[in-house]
Amino acid sequence: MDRSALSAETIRELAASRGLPLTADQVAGVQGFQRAMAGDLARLRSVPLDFVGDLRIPADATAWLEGFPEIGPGGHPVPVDREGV
Amino acid sequence: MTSLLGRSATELVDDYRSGALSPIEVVDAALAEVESDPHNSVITSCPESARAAAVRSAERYRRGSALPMDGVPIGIKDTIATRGIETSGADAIYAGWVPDEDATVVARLLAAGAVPVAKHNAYAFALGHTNTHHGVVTNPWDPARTTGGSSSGAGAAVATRQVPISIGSDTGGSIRLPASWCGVSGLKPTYGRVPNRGAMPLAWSFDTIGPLARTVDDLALTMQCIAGHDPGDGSSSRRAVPDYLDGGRTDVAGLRIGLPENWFFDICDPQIEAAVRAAALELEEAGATIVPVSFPHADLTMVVGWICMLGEIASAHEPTAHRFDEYDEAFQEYLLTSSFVELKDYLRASRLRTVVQDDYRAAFELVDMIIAPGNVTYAPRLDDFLCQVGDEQYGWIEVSARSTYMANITGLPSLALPAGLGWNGLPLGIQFLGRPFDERTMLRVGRYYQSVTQHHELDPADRRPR
Repeated sequence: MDRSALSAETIRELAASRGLPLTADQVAGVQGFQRAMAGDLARLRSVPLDFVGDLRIPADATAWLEGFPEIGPGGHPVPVDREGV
Repeated sequence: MTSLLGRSATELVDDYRSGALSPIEVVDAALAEVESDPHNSVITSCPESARAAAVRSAERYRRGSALPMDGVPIGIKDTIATRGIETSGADAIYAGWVPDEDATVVARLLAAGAVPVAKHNAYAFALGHTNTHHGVVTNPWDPARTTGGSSSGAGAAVATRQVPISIGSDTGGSIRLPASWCGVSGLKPTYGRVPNRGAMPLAWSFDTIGPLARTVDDLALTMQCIAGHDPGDGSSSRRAVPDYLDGGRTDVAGLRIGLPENWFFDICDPQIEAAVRAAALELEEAGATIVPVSFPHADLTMVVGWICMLGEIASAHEPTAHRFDEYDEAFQEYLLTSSFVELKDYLRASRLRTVVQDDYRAAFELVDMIIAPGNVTYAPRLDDFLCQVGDEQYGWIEVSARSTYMANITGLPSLALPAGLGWNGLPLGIQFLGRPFDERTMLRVGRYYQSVTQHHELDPADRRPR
């Protein structure tokens, strides 16, 4: 199911199945957000991901930051070898 | 002579040391401002604990054993736990909760002698564009407009000289947006630089605690007290904390400053773009080199930011999602939307986050810092939340985090600075993005900028929008 373009009725049914009876305004709010994001979401889904090559650990912000190249002499960063990054 | 609370924290500490002022009179003055706050910045004031702390501070100055922030009145965002003081998350569902433990950042500020005088209002659970339960915070430059958020009360309270410093949090721009729209400075540190323990999560892989203040010196003073590893926070960095005060250093010669060629100015009010370019010129004249940088995957910024954030919100609030009706109405909409994020989209956004990160890693091979708009528009009106960018209008969701999300997606530090007033008398802001854990260089550049401009001294009490 593509949840980015749900009808009002489906949103209401899905929410009700989780014990959340929604008002018309709340349903409209969900649809409004989905409409605003629709183009971006389509772009997100269009990016090709390799089965192996791009399967990195998601969102490990700490590791990425700690692994950043140190600042070199004169305050300038050490050049990065991007092979395999 | 500057009024008591017109002084920065750094100036107050100097005045306490010389005996020109006492923490007791300054904390009393701050409490009076908190009580008469016209912008709804405050959820809970703390007069008893603040007065008692001020007396202890005064005693330490008398004995010559003062702490780094001794007697400085501060605010704390209401999403950050304070022992014995109600911490509601700025939402109805946690109303009345009084923590029995301080958040790490609060414990460190108390250990440095700072005196919390208020829990500051915010968007409920640090997300949204308003607060139904506690009421909206109005912008000191024009009460018909938003302060931005989510650290809304912090932005308004610092701008109106209620406190020189307030502690906010930033998950998508929540320190930097209110800083820019209220005409104050704000620092989103590197992810993991300041421990999150004791702060209510919004999106745990983005959340970052940091200070808002009028001056860069005060941001540095605060960072010196709150940064550093917390064994109780698995995401906090073990790196040593550098000297952020840096001897007041302001030299920028030799630094390479990246000026974006795409994304940041594609949708940006012309006056804000002009302010960024003027600041770049100031730095160039002082010996910095301006280097063009670009971000090939910048168009993923907003969707990666929103989908990651919403996915984590759905998970963080799962234990209380069945009490949906008790949440603030403003947060309900986001909580609801979060429940419709598909797992595969969250994981795809998480994987593509590394693509956005790699853009910045490549840029930082060329530069020491990036200069960018603090936000793309002026503070929107509270009655429509439409973002006016030049002649175009955009929805809040489309553009509000456009200049800020990347620092949360990447975890990079970012410094927002006031850059004057626009044609409409409203503040506009610029922003620096730095290398991981290099807040010190960023603060140095900010210190230089504030030494050659007076934007950080603008007071909404003296100016009204035309």
